[in-house]
Amino acid sequence: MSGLRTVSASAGSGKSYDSIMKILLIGDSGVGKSCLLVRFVDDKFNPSFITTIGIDFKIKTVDINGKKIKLQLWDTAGQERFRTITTAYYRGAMGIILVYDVTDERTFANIRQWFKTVNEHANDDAQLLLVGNKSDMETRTVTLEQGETLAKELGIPFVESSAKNDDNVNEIFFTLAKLIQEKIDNDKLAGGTSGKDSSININSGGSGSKSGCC
Amino acid sequence: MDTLVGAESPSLSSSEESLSLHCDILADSLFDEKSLLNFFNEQEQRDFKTSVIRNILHDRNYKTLCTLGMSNFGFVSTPLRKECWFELLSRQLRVSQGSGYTTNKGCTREHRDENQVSLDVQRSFTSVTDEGRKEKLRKLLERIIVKILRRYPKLSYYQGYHDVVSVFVIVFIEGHDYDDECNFLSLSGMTSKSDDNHSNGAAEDKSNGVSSSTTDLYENETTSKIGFDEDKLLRCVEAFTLLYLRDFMMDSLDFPIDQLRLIPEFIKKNSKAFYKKLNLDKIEPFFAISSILTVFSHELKPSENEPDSLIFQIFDFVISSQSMVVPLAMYATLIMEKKDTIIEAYNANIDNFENSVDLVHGVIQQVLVPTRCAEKIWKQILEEVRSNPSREHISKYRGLVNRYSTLLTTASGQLHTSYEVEDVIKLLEKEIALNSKRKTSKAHAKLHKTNTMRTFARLFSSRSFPLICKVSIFVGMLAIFMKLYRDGSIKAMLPTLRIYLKKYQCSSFAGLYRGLNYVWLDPLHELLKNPSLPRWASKVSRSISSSKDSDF
Repeated sequence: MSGLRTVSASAGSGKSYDSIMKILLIGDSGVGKSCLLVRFVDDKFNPSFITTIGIDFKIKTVDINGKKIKLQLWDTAGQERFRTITTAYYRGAMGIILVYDVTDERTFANIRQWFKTVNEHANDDAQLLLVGNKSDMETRTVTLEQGETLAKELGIPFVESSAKNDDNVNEIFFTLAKLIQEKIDNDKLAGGTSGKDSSININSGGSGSKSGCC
Repeated sequence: MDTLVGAESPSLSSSEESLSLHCDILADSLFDEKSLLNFFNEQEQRDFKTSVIRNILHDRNYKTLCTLGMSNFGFVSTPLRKECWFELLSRQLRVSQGSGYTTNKGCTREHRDENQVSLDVQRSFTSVTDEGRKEKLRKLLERIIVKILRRYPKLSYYQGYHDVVSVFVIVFIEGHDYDDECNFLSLSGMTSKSDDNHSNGAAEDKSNGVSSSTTDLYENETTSKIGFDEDKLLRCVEAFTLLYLRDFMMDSLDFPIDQLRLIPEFIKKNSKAFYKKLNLDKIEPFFAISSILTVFSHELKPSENEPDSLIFQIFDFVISSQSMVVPLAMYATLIMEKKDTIIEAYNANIDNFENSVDLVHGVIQQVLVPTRCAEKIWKQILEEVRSNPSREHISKYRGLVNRYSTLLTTASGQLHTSYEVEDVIKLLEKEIALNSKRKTSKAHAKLHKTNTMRTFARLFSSRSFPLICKVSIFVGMLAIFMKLYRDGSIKAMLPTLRIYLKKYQCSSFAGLYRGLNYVWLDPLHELLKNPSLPRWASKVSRSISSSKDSDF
């Protein structure tokens, strides 16, 4: 799917990018999803950044291996009740960032639940990444090792970050983008899939109506 | 409107009466856009309106107050606004002394959502620059929310409720000198205590302080108040919560999502082509969720010393018109206002998004975010809604929301209705029951997806099932349909079915499959409730005829 998007985007009327990646940030309320995003997109930090209600959307274009990639970043509300809404946006996400707060064990424990939600609602080929945020805080209750162990168990890469000190924030998004890009390239090399992908993509606009009437 | 003054206050002396009658007539037309008053400059108009409102407040002329709240400038200034909101809201929700809910005030058990509340409160009032004041505003905000939740433990907190309450906090606290710590904090016994513990005011300690002294923190409803009146604030928030926000405070977001679906309907009425263009027949209008849940206070943050801020005027309008349809209509108007820009952005981005859910959300957000700061557009929207107040008759869309919804009961736009708190609690309980029923049936549907269909399919394809039985079932079903057809009840059922199907379609697109039970269950439900078919048929057709003009 993403493979074709790369083609269609560059073939389009002089677009300023080579491809688009849809990335989603999920995790419990207050772990710092919006702060990570704002740090990455606007290079700002505000300790009392506003609550996200429902879903928010930002764009940032980055350069990866000489390719201009437009990152479409979807920030979600953490409160459980918003899951009905936020899961509607999982579809087609190429990258999903699961965030927890290293100073709050509960948010770490809930990662398994989030992982389950991802498996239920996201595309199978979505690239996941586990992030332990607020690594600058001295009141940490979740160790680096615990994070690594969980990541290993879930089979996904892991980073600790601090939106406040701007530690590893860019790395999160760049790592994920690179992983996604690799996947796309691998799929291309494997061949055959692009044909299948294109048919999905062409129909993507209409697929909604299809599911709507049956 | 005309006979009202006399009826309201028969004891008035004749001169006072004529004055208030005067105000009454004035209020009706003077403050709209095209009135004669436009000869005067804005400040003069404001001054005039201020004195009119003072008079009306003095006379406790409720109906005229509503009219004034809906016209230009709203309630003009913060001190007036505070009084007017209290006057209106305490009238709309009556709490009789000695009722169960006043004695229940001291409920001290911690509410399950308090942790979430403190997370959100820590992220409120971000625009306040003075750190000390910000901290105090946050404390007050948290205290009010927690008090409401503990008083009505059945309500669930949602992210965004804190935005709504912060509007009330700003209005009620403004103008009070809360540099004076004692003045501000001695408001309700609790704080002076917690303040002693944290004289350094460290934010991290705050939550600990609250939970350690929870038992007595929230139970003291002190009667004597210095500075501002917290009781009045609490009464207003209580009334607004129960009458206007009830739908949002269930165990899930199903009911607010139902409300959101009115927005596409309003847009469709205005421009069917635009509605189609945005695929609103296929996708859920989730893009509007934050605006609706917070009555725009998430987008338009309230701040002190800005009485003209449009968020206050929006609240003036909502409270005066007693209508939660207003925010929905306003949102639809906003979208319509930006129609051309939206279409342009839609076309430009059509290749940039993975699916139409993302595309429409992305485009609308992209177009609307700059409007957050643009006073002009909001003024325009407000004027439009003012000049055309809730002509959207909610009864047309009855099928889209639950029958206990605020939109059909306590905030339906029916002016001058008031409720006893006990009645609203009953409504709330019924609504909660309906919500949990819906939740379980949804979960059930998820577990046993298309079970019925599969059973039928298996039955009919299985060889062990004798042919004669298959035929007889077929004939039986045919007979039922014939009977219904000849009654004309199938015809009568069609419009309702269409509504249900539409609901189903919307949700199935977003992968929610919510409507599933409703498509088939509800007509059957009706059937079972009224065993005598003719009566049932007439009932259905009656309900149809009322919804016929809705243009579905």
